[in-house]
Amino acid sequence: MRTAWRTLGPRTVRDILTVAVACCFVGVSYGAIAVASGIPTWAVVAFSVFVFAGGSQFLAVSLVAAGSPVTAVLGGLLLNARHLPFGLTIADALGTTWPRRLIGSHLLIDESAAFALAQPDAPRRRAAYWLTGIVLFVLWQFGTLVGIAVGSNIADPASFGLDAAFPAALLLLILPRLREAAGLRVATTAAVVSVVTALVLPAGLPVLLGLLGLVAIGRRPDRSSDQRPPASGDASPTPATAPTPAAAPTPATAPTPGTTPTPATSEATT
Amino acid sequence: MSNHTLILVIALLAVGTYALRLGGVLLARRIPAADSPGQAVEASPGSAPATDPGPTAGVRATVSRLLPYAAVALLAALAATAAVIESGEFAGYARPAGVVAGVVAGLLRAPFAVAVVLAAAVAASLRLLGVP
Repeated sequence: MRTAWRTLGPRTVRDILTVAVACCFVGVSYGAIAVASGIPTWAVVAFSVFVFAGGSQFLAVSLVAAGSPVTAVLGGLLLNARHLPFGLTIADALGTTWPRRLIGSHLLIDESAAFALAQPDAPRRRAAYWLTGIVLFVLWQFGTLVGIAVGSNIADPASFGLDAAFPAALLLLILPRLREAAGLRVATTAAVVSVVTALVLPAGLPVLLGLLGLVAIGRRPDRSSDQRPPASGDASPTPATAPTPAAAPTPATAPTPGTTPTPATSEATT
Repeated sequence: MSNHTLILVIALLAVGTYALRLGGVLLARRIPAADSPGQAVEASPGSAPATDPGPTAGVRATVSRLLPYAAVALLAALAATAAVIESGEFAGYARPAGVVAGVVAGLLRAPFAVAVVLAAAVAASLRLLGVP
């Protein structure tokens, strides 16, 4: 941390910590929602430790709670597919030794990639990547545990409005994308298709059918979006904070490269 | 769902996700400098920038353009169904009203945690008032 402070400067370190705290809150909502929807505690923790990708955790927990494990895996992997191009882009930030590549890969999330990309040179890219990845990993686990404690003490999630917190958290994560025309078209189409089909199809499928929303993207994203950094897709857990430059972690969606943990949810759950 | 199924779901998702992460990192070594981080920043999402549009580059550009939107589509679909559907039927008004309140707060730049809590509070309050 001290080295990172020197290499990156106080400003960047502060930005990273801000994002990490925001991410921690997403972890809390993930833990609370997952437990409230009936997922066993050990599984809620296992998702956070071994998957460590918020959006897919929310999705998977929600679909598992709804009784569709297959779509939980497929949907989660689809959501995490963006890690591949992000890995291509920031591979040098991990380091060149095998231990660094193997461990560093697990820390590849929207935020770590975003902060790394925003740095001007290799040493700083590396410092930013590792600091962001490690701090977010630790806080994500901590947030998950706090969320489990909170969620376990709530008898009826609906009376506290937890069922509304989940979809709201998801939308907040993709808010940056919703501010651009193409993203809004895609999201709206996906929402309509999934809701309509959810009235007749079993849980899980309607969410995957939401991919049909991609037809609304248009031949090319808006000019404005072209200028942005690599969008990542989904959600990164940091909402409104977005400190840094370009690629900085903006909440959800967009601009950030890797993805991070977004929480999970379950709604259908109950 | 049995614990075995749950373990399988977690294992498959964890291994698959890790493979996607490591795969990108390892593939990067085989790909010429066209995507050094610096350029990637400028050239990313869909832009099919000026540089060499070889066939591979074209595919990659398309994929990296679509992926973020695929994530948006999936999460929007999940959020929408979670907001209004409960077991294949309309979930009532309190929940979607809370969701809208949270999103509006987010649009007004409220911090994430505040917006999420607001969504829950609005839904809970409406139920307290007797709204389904």
